[in-house]
Amino acid sequence: MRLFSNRRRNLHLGKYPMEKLKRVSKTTTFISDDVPRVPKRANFFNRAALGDLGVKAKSERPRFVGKLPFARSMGRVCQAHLPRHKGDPSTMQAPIPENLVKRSEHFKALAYFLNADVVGICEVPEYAWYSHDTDGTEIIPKHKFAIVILIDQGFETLDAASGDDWISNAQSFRAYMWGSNIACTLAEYIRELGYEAQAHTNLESDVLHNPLVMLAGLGELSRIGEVALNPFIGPRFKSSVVTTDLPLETDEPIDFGLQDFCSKCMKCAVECPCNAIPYGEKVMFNGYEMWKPDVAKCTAYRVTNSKGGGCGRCLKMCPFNKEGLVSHRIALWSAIKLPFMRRFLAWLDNKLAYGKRNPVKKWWWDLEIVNRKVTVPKDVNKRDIKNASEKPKAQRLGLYPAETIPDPDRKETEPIDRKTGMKLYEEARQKNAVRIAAKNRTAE
Amino acid sequence: MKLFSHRKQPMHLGKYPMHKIRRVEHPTTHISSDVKRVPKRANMFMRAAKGDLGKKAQFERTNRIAKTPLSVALRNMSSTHDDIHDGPVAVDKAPITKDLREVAEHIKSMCIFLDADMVGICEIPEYAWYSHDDDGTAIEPYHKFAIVIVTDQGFETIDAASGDDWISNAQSQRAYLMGSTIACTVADYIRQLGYPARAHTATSSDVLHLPLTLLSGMGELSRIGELVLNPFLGPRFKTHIVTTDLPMQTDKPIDFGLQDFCNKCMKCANECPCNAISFGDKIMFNGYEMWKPDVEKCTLYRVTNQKGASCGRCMKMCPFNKEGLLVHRLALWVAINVPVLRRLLSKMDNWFKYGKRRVENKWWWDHENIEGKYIFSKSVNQRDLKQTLNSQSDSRYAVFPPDMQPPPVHDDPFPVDRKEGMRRRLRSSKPPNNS
Repeated sequence: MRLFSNRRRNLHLGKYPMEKLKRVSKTTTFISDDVPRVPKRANFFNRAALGDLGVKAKSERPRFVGKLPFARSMGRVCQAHLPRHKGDPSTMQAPIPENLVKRSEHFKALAYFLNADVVGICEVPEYAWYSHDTDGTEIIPKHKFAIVILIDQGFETLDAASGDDWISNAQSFRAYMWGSNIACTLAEYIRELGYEAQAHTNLESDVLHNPLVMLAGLGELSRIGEVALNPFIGPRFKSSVVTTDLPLETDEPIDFGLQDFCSKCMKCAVECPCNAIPYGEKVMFNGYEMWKPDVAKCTAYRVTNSKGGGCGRCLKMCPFNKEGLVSHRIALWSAIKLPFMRRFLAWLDNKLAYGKRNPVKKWWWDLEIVNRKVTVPKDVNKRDIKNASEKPKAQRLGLYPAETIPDPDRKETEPIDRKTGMKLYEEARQKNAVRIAAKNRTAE
Repeated sequence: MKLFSHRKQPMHLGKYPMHKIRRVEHPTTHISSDVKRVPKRANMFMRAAKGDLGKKAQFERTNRIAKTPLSVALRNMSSTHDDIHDGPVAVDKAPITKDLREVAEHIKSMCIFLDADMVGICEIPEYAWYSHDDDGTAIEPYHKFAIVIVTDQGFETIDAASGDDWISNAQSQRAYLMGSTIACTVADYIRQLGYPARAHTATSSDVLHLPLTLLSGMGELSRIGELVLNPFLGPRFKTHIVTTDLPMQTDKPIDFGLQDFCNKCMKCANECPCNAISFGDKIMFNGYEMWKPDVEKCTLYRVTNQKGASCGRCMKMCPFNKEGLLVHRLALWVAINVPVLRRLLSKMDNWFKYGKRRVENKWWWDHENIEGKYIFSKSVNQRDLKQTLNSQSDSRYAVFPPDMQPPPVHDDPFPVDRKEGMRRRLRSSKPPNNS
């Protein structure tokens, strides 16, 4: 129940006051102009499927989603949408307004009408396109614009979960399913108007979503690493994308002080069940200056998790994962406007026991499909909050940049080389320390 | 932005405090023991398609069923679910609780998690099943329980619309797509647990949604007629049903005083663009006590509307169609608990100009498909509020009870007998408990 009316707020502005955030011309994460394009073969879920992460991960990957009956059901609905991702535009172009701002407002309003949580538009840089499809065929960048849609995974259920128990993958799929609904509808609509459009979802995507989320002004890259973070829904979302050649007005990236916040907050790194999130500084990775997690560790943990289905504990534990009450908005305001409060706010988050599981909200059943039979799993990950003062442990992270990934059409296993990965991470760390020192010197 | 946390409220209770609404043993409108089952052929949209409502309606219904690009996109998406409404059931039953209440709460929570606005559960009476399928094959009732899933059509967009302009159909289609997504997921899940289950949506349904919506406690029948009204969403929703044999605890019908409210409020009847909603009293129709609208007029208007796509103006204008702010909750409380103020509330709704379009919020484009080409439509229904009450007498409405409906199989037009329908309206019996 709300106190104030939204009737004076145009639909294209959406549910959250994104228009009040500071916009910047470049992403707060440095992106160099030589980001290499990567093939889908290099995606770690694909690598797991082909055995690059070992025998166990290879055998578990096919049942990663399907071992949860609920996630499997949603997966089927997503599958049904597959034929609506791509298609030929209708031959007659419909008349539409010349004004690009009006156009963008229209498509954003439509996405919100379809229950999107946050929507932004950007141009698609070449590096955001995968270089090769799973079968090795080259992908030619085809559309100039991207409509980027975020779907909240839902606070209430995550509130009851540990993040790596028997609801985790179903939470992802709930957001994927709505994302697919919205993106495919938008793409169908644009094609019906006579313009090219393609939906990119978890099932089938020719683009990398992370850079587009950043460029469309929906979030900043966070310590979690491969996750952009939105001020209002934190990391608790999935994205879907529509690319199109219909000219649109684009948005600018946002800056809500997250780079500084994450440098002062270690909660995700402390709570990561497989110690894949760095406590340390950012490194250069494929042209991005970012907190780079050990993706091999993260993927292997998610795929082989035997006490749950998948893992999203980082997004559960992040201080930005909140219910969205007035009190949280006030805290958010101070996190954005008062940099000296950030360390305190991160501390307060633990102090107030945010991240502890809320048993009132647990509604799902712990069920696992084993050999085509629904069973009650033997065990479940029950995690609450770790002691924040816990000293960062010695961390050994691997880095797997573009030059170490398998060929686009390689069908055989190409095991990851952990030793080299760790060496590369160490080198990257040192290089960046030098780079930052040099930058600081010139600043002086 | 909310003030108070929901963290202490279990998931199955959902977004709206439906558990605070009074529950009753029987629906507030009488349903007799001799409701006749009807074939799908008798559905008025089907009748329009077969030519029962004339050539014009047949042409519009078959060739211009989705005449805006957004309707086409949404319909195309819904049709991807055609093959996943039903499917094979797991051979082994899953090890789940025997506690019927726990099962019901689990399924409801799941629907809420999937963004349903409300969920109710009831047993399916035989009369809620269609008697015959499109092709004339008899339908044998096959499941015991119905999970009724309610999805809001969205306040903000309807706020800017007249109800019968170019977004109307897409608003319905949006809710249908969302509901189909939820219903197909839940049905598939139940089948994996080892129990049969089937989704019934706008694209394919073996059951009539209206009695199930009533019996599962999602609302009361309203003056609009063929429409159940919910205290929190008003008439602004669509329903999607999962039928199953999974044993669950059922809900009871609700009573929030709507029969008296609708007696005192004529807003929908007054605002109906085709005068299809009755200003008079309830009658008995095929065993239901209800305000029976003129379904022929309503269907004709929706199908042949030239200044918009379809029509949902009754649900736009209903005083229960509100944004859901604290003030509206207070008004709702008064409407439920203080019967003497109902007439005043219904008047106030007009004084406050609720129902006027908020045109500055209009975001959609008025596209219309004319002979295979989209153009900006030349005309659009721009309606706001009528200032005076303009009642119509009962004699102008027709009813078409089962014995006037087409047989299960009838490919040729089976023309609607309007004159006989109007005679039947005047001869229809009064409800037994009409005090």
